[in-house]
Formats: sequence, structure tokens, C-alpha cells
Amino acid sequence: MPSKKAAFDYIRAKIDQLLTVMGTLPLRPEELDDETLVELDPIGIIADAFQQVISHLNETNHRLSLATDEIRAFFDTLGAAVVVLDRDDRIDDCNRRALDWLFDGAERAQIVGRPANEVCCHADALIGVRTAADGACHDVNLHGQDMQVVASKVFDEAGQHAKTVMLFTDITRQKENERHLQLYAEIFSHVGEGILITDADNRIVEVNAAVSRITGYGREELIGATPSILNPGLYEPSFFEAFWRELRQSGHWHGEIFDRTRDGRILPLLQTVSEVRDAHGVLTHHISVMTDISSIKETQSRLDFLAHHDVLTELPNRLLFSDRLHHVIERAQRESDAIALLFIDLDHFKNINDSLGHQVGDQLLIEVAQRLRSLVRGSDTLARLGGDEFVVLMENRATHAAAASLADKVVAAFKQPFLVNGIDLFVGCSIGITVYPEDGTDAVTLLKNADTAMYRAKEAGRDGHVRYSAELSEATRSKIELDHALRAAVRDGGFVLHYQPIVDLTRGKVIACEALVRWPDAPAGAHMPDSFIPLAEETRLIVPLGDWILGEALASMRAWNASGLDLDYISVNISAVQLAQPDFPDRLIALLQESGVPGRQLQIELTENVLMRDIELCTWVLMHLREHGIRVAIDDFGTGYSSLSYLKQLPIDNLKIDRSFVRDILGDANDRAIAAAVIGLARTLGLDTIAEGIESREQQELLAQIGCDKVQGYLYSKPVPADALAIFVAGYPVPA
Amino acid sequence: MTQIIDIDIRGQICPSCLLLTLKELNRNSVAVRAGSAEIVVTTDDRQATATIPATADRMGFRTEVDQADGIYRIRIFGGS
Repeated sequence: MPSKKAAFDYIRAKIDQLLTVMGTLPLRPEELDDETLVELDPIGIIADAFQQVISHLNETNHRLSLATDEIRAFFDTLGAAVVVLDRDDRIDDCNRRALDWLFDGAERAQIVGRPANEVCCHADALIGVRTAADGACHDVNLHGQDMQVVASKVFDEAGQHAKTVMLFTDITRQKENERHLQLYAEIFSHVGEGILITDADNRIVEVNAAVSRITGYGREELIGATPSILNPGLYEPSFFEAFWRELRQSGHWHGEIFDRTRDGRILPLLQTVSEVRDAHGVLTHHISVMTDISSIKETQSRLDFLAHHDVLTELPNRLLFSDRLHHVIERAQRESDAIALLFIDLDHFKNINDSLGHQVGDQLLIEVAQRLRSLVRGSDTLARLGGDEFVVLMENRATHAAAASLADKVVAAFKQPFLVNGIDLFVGCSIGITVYPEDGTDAVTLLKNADTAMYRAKEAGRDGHVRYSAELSEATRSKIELDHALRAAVRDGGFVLHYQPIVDLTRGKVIACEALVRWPDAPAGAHMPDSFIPLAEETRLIVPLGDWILGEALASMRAWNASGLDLDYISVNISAVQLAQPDFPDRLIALLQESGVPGRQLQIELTENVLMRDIELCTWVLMHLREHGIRVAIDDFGTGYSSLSYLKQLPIDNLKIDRSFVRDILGDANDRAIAAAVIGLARTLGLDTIAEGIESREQQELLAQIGCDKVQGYLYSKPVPADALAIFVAGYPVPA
Repeated sequence: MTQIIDIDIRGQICPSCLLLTLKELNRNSVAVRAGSAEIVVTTDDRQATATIPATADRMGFRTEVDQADGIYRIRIFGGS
């Protein structure tokens, strides 16, 4: 049986044990004496307290458990992947996203406790990040996903490295945005148009390189400034009011505007300005896109100049002059003013152009324009209407006297030669003068009458001026008309060729034909060549007309050859003007070759005077043509001035005896003798003769007697169209 | 209005300050936990400033200790 003391000692020891378990200090002996001990019920008190300790612990655990569950749920649904590793690089924990992104969709249970590089294919790539684990962000790309990873160390209570936590965020979209931004930044900086952005206070916040290039201001000078530094100071306030009004109303403004560059130049720009508003509709920025259009403007103004000015002389052209004339007439009408026109045509310009070439001709025109400029007053208008035609418009009380005075000056000035390419060229001029309102009240009439007056000046001997008058000869007027009609016919094709057969009496067949041009729709009955060929020669229209005639004749010949018609040659008349063309032989040969007709099937007819005019030129040309087999005939022989020695040296095949001899051969013994002599002469020179204009059988027989057996005339056929000729040839000789 | 339960055990060593406090605390534990009462112990026993807070803390209470001129006041209260 234990003693009371032993029992109380036992109780005290157990109380101390319990207090120690509860985490507090054991009692000091004096704190509880034997008397108080039982009465106080210390063990009961401690038991009660202990129960509360346990309750508290339970509650704490419960709360901890709830918190852990919350954290877990949060952990798993996190948009980021979280991985916790222990010190040996084994997986301690991870959330659901990490399972998807890093562990190939494995279950958490499969990877916890395993080394990182066993369960994650990216482990090696990320070892550096894990080892450093310093909270720094790293951008990585894991199998196409752009991620940002942060690793940090977790330390335990002892300060030792216990765990490593890694957080992975998917930044694919962010990276894509970054790439887009980079692209836009590239575009912004490289685009040729200037882009300028201002904020809500109209301060420039951004510009691209093009803006600096266009305006001359550097970026630093522009950022922070307002666009008013580009203001050229040319615009009224109303312009800007309209600008802002439209911008506010529609959100955009587009148009041409002038800015001032850094070095003070005024620059034309094509500009678009747009408002930028945020999601609440508040204005945040303005974007301005500008294109430098100064070169376009320059081109435009150059085009404009070219449209209104003659390119060669830079004088106003017909278009601009016409405008001016209309304008001046209107003003003169209102203010009862007088104006005068001087129509200036250069004499012999075409000669120079043809013989010395277009380059010289052009240079001459420039020189002429210069000289005219120096004579004309500032208030007058000088223009080039085209070709070698110039016109001067005199305003402000311009009388005929004043116009005549100017005309005299011009004529006198043109007595001095023009120096072109080292050659002195003498060019005269013919001037026609008209005065408003006496000689016409509208532009067309004034010009037309000036033209007529100028023609008269030419007829009167050139190098002078003539005032228009209503009494100008009808002949001049109709000549002008004919000239215009002829030009039109050459341009549009109003001619036909007729053919007159040439018969060889000995051989009894048609051996050739002569091509003769007709103009069916000629005005005033000028169908026959005599009526228009001289004018064509004067105006050099004979050149294109002659080309056409040759081409047409060769075409007919080719067709006849093809249809089996047996002709030796076709004969075409050539004028002196054509012969004088430097490229005449080459052009003729080209036409010949183009047609495919053999050279010897073409004959050209030239009159005596043409041949004698320039014997050397003719010899050279005819020799050249002879090489290709082309025949040559002297037309109208006996009516001109031939030198026998010249005749000898020219390469000729035929002499055509003029019809005037044939006509009188029956009645006039002299004509008969001359004809005989010509025929004899021809024979001596080795030439053949053809008699033109045979109208009667008697004429034919007489000619045959004196030795000419080739004939042409109405007795056989008048000139007829191509198919009629073919029929005639096929049907000749007609049975008697 | 919080009821304040005063335990003044100055000048006394026995019975133990801790046991006396625990007895009172057990008796009023519900009220103190609810926040409608609190216990203030006034003592000159320095050890009590260690033992009482340690135990009360384990039991889920909060404590506050004040000292002035060798007299200690230990306040025990509940609430989270």
C-alpha cells in the first residue's frame, strides 16, 4: 500500500508530465501544496484544457484541409502550368495544365517522384533555367508553343533550398502580336508615303522616315511640335475652317495641300488625314498620310506647256494662239479696240528642207523664231501655226500702218542670212495682213483672209507683204481652194490612173501603155493633169502623189502579167520636183522591188527641160535606174531645149515625138521634115521613137513612111481604166 | 459589451497561477471563444507570462501580456 506522500508525488509527476505534453512548463513545488492539490482538482483542470487543445487542433486541421483543397483547385485551374521539383530534380507536384503542356498528358501519379528528364522531353532544354531559379523570365519555344518560364527556389525553415517552383505561361498570342507589331513598324518606317501621327492635343507623337525626307525636318524636330511648323502661310483661315469641319464630320480629309519644307520650299502634297477614336468614341489621335506630288505637278505643267506650245521653237502653238485670238477679239469688241494679224510664210523653206535635210530645216525654224521674237513687241503674240507658217497678233490700237511697219521690219530682217550648221541660208518671207474689224470680225475669217493675203504676197513675187482686200483676184482664191482640195485628195486618195496603149505597127500589137492620172472629184472641173499637176509641183504634193502613181502603175502591171497580158512595159511621167528629191532613185527602186515587177517593164518619161536643167544629176539618177533595167524616155521631144551632146551622154531608150508635130505633119512640110530629122537623129543615137497624138490613119501611114512605127493616140484608144486596157490589148488588132 | 473576468493573484504563489487561470478559462471557455467575455490575469509571477500564453495558445485562444512595475497583466481572449 503506497504512502500518502508517494501517492501525492505520483500525482504531482503526472501533472507535470501532462503540462509538458501540453507544451508548457512543469509546476514549481511551491505552486501546489498537498492541501490545495486534491481540492483544486489539477488533473481535472488539465484534462479539460487538454480537450480544448485537441479540439483546437482538430479545427485547425480541418481549416487547413479546406485551404489545401482550395489551393489545389486554384492550382489546377490556373492558366499557367506550375511544376514543383525537389532538390534532386524530381517532380514533387504539378498542376493539370503542366500535365498537358509538359508531361504529354500523363497522370500526376505517373510522374510524381520521377526525375524531370525522364518524364519531360523539354527537361534538358530547361536545365539552365531550373538551376539558376532566380526569378528571371525566359522566353522559350516548346514544340511550337511560345512560353515564358520563371523558376524560383523555395527555402525551408532552416534556410536550405527545399524546392524549385517553375511557372510556365503561354505567350503564343503575345508573340504573334509582337510579330505583327514588328511588321507594322517595318511598314511604317519603310513606306514611301510620309505618315505623321498627332495626339489629342495636336502634338506630333510619331513620324516615319518618309516624313523627314519629304519635309526636311529631322524626327527630333518634329516629335512634340505641332503640324503648324509645316504651314506655308499661304492659306486663308477659311481653308483651315473647312478642313477641320470636314474632318469632324466625316472623320477624314483628303486633298492637295501645300506645305513648307525646312529650307523654305513650297511643296505640293497629296494628303489624307483621319481621326482615331478609342472604344468610347473619344478622339485620341490623328493620322496624316502624305505623298510628295511635286514631280507629278511638274510633269503636269510640262504637259500643259507642250500642249500649248510648239515643241521645236517653244512658241505658242495653234491651239494656244487660237485661244488668245478669240479672247483678244472679245475684248476688242467690248472696248472697240483694233487688232491686226500678220500671217508670215517662209519662202522656199521646203526647198531647204528637201535639199539639206530636216535637221537643218528644224534648226532654221528655231533661228527664224528667234529673229521674229526679237522684232515683235512684248504686247504682241507670236505663234507658230505649223510647217513654215508663223503669225503675229498685234493688240492695242493696232492699225494697218503699224502692221505694215512691222511687216517691213520683218522683211528687212530676213534679208540677212540665217547661219545654220555653218551654212548661210537665205530665207525670204511672204506676209499677209488683216485688220480687225475691217477684214473680219471673227477668228476664222481674220485668219482665212490673212492666209489669202499671204498667198497674194507670194504670187506678187514674195519677200513682201500684202494687205487683204476683197478685190483679191478670184484666181488666187480658187487657187487656194484647189490647193486645199488637192491636199485632201492626196491624203484621202481621190485619184485614179487611166492607161493609153502604145502600139507597135510592125509587130502588130500593143507593146506598152502610158499611165495618166485623173482626179474625178476635182473642184471646178480640174480633172485633167494639166489643171492640177503644176500646183502639185509648186506645193511639192507631187512627191506623195508621184509615189502613189508609181505604186498604182506597178500594181496594174503586176496584175496584167499575172493574167497573161503580154506588155513590154508601162510608162510613167516623172516631174522635175520628184527627180530633185535626194532619195528619188532609192524610193523608186524600193517601190519596184516591192511590186515584184521586173525593172525593164517600167519606163519613166521626163521632159527635155527637166533633163537639161541639171545634166549631172540626171545622168547620175538615170544611170542608177538603168542598172535595174528601168527604161527612160524623153517626153514631148522637140518642144524644149536639148543639147545634142547632152543627149548623147544620157542613158535614154525612147524619144516621144510631141503631138504638135504629129498634128501638122500632113499639112506642113516643115513639120514633116523636122519629124523625119528627129526620127533619123534618134536612129543614129540608137534610140527608138514613139509618135504621140495620132488621130488619123493618114498620120499613121506618113509616120511609118519616115520610119516611126510606134504610135500612141486617139486613133487607137483614149486613156482608159486598167480593165478596159486589158480588154483592148487582148482584142488588138481589131479585124479591119 | 465584453465581460471582463478579473483574476488577481498578486502576492500568491499557491495555488499555481497557471492552474487557477485554466480553471477559470475552462469554466468560461464558450463565452471567451464567442468573444463575449475575456479573462485578465494580474500577477507578479514572472513565469506565468510564459506558461499561460503558451497553454492558452494551444487551446486556441489569443493572449496579450503587459508589464508595469513588476506587475504583469495577461489578457486572454477569443475570436479568430
